[in-house]
Amino acid sequence: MGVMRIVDSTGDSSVTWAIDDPVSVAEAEAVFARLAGERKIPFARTSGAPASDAERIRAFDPALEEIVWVRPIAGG
Amino acid sequence: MLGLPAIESIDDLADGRQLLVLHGGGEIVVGTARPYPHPVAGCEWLSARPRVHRAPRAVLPPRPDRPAATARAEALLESLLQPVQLADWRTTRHFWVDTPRGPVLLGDLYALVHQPNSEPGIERVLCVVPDRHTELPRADIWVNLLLVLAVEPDAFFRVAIQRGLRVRRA
Repeated sequence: MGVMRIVDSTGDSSVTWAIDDPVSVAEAEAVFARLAGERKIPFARTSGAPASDAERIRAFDPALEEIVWVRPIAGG
Repeated sequence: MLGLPAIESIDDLADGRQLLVLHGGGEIVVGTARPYPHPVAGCEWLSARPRVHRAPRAVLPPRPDRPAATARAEALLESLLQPVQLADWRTTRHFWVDTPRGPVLLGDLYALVHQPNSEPGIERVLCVVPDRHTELPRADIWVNLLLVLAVEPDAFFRVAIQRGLRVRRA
């Protein structure tokens, strides 16, 4: 089971998929494409791994355990 | 006994004080400042403007979902921290993130402390925020900056705006 966590005003919203469930994978892939279109930034990690072990990803891979989506940053 | 440097010139300032220009380049302002008209017609000094007393703000009750949002954001943040960072976060609400350009302290919004490797004696105070950050729980802001700093530090430093520069604390 994979999970996307998208930081937002609720803390984060989750989208899950099962690698053996094509429907959930397709839905997760669609969410990935939408968020990427919003310029949000995806980082993948194995579940519970620290940020230093995370990896920036460019495409959805259903084999990933966890994707954390954050927002673009700017100088304030 | 120390001798005073020679005075090269004395200039009268608009507020009644005098500027003494010393031999060798030093300058001293002496005297007592007194009010004088603003040099721009129609303007007045800030200190001369009447103070605006703002109406007290209404205290809104906390949104019912806020504690849950905060708890979720804190849990996500803590899951991303290394043990040392986690200990710092739980005790000080701050933590350091190592980068190739030197560590960055997260914990004060709009005032992120960077200790550049290339400048051992100083600290830079930087400001970087996520898009529409005011709608995020505070811990989510640190999640956002932590991941960018830890994985793509150049992206962080590329947009960072320096707010201050100071001598590094021990």
